[in-house]
Amino acid sequence: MSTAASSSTSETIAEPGLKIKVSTKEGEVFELDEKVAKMSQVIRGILEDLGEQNGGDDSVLPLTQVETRIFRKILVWLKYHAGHDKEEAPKAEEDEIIARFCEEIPEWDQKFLNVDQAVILEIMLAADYLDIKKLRGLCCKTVANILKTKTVEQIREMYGIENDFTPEEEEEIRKQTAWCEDEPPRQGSNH
Amino acid sequence: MSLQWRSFPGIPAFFDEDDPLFQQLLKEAETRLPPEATSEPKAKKLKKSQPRRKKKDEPLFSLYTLDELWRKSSILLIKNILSYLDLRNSCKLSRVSTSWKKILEKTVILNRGVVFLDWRIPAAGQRRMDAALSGSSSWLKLFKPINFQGIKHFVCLGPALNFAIFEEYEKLFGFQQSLSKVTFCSDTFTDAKLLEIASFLLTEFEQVTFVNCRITTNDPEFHFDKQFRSAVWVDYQGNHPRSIKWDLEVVIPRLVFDENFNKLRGEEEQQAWLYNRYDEMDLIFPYGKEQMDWLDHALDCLSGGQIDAVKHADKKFLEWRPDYYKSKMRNSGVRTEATTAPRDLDMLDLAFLGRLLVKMNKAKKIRGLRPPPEPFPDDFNVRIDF
Repeated sequence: MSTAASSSTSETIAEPGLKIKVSTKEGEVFELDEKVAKMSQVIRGILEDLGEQNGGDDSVLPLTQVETRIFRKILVWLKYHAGHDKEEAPKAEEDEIIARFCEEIPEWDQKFLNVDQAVILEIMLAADYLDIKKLRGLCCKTVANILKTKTVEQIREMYGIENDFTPEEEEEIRKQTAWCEDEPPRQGSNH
Repeated sequence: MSLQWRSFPGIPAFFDEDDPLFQQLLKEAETRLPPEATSEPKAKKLKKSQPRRKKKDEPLFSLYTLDELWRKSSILLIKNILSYLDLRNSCKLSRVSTSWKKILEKTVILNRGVVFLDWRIPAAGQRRMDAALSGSSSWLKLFKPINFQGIKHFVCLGPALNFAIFEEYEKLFGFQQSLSKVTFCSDTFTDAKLLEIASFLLTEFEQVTFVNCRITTNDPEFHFDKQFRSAVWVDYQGNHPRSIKWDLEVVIPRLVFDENFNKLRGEEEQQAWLYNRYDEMDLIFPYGKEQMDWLDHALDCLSGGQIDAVKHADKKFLEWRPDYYKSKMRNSGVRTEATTAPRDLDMLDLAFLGRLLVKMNKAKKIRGLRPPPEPFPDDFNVRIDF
């Protein structure tokens, strides 16, 4: 386990118990409650590999792909959900797929993700790196909801995707899918 | 005597400055204001009291562009995002690029054989969809970019699937042998329609599930029509003939119809089965003991004509409910003599009598009746027919 960079800022969580130190890409160190930290499967895995001997010393888990400003945001989410989420009985895979599609994004999470789309993508990438399944899913669903409001041309422009269909191919697929095109979205959309 | 004009909150604009009351109020008002306060103290004070914005409250902006971040996203993440699209949007976005098309064609595989059709779309889109689906157009043709091989479970979201004719369901679901389950989510049905759809689809599929659906039950339809002029009710409610109707409304979190439902014989058994499920899910009387105690007390508050009115309504209610309905309901533990015959009330009785008493109390005060701890839904209708 690597050691923290010398310039560190600690964010201590009030609850007593084991504290886990992590450092961001910039080397900033955060001290997390064990329950909060273990919501990341990556951190949980490292702790399990190390036999959970990290609590009493100064060792710090390096999260080299997560920038401090995004980690601060994710920490807000982790703390909230660590305190509010109830233990859920494991669902069958099919039921889980149906639930994630059918269930609305909870109000708190909607507010949390009411940010610029680029920030949502950054949170999604960080959640993917940290393996926080629920947050990753929320981000993916939010991005999918944004996609639903865009035209094909807007999506290509937004993500810099090249239209690599031949004109004939595109014409054919356009005919097939003409019925499901939306009205052009209104100007001035936040995303 | 001189009149002074000063502007202070809570003090009239003009006052006799020699008046001791004015002097006192002025002194008090001056101590409330900061020394530099002039004619607009409120605004200045408000500005000063604004908390400094904390760093973490500041809006978060990305240092990257969307296309940079999209390029950083792994194929698994992109597949994850696209797996949240329903059939219509999958078809629409398969035009973005060949790689998107390849991913979206495999929507069925991405979601382990589950496909979604979201009907919660704007009216214009809905019209185009309806037009495209009318006539002999097959649904499979509409979703042509999607490969339906391996489809097991079709999930419909939203309120547009209450087709009047079952031919539409056949068009929608009748295209793949592998399809065995159909789920309706966030839709609205009458319970008669719910049973009809489930019965129909179970002839083809193994399971029909309703998730987060709002169900209005036309049975128990408790209905005095305007020809029904009970002396008790005319006396109780006034001289106008009224019709009284109760449509129980429930929101089912999840209700599964499978082969066991198909073994039930006849509509009455099916209806009783449905009520039993509602009761098991605590949907008929979804309240705690306090609400039961309230009802117990409320029935004790009745006197004279009020008891007669309740007994009369209860008699009509029981006439509608054959024995097998009653036997399917859980007993509440509340016993009363204010009904046709003294009896232990089941959960449907509680739901009915609770609403009845609230409605009666609105029409004519029942002495000593407090409002229930939790309000009942407003699904008990009294209509006055002149």
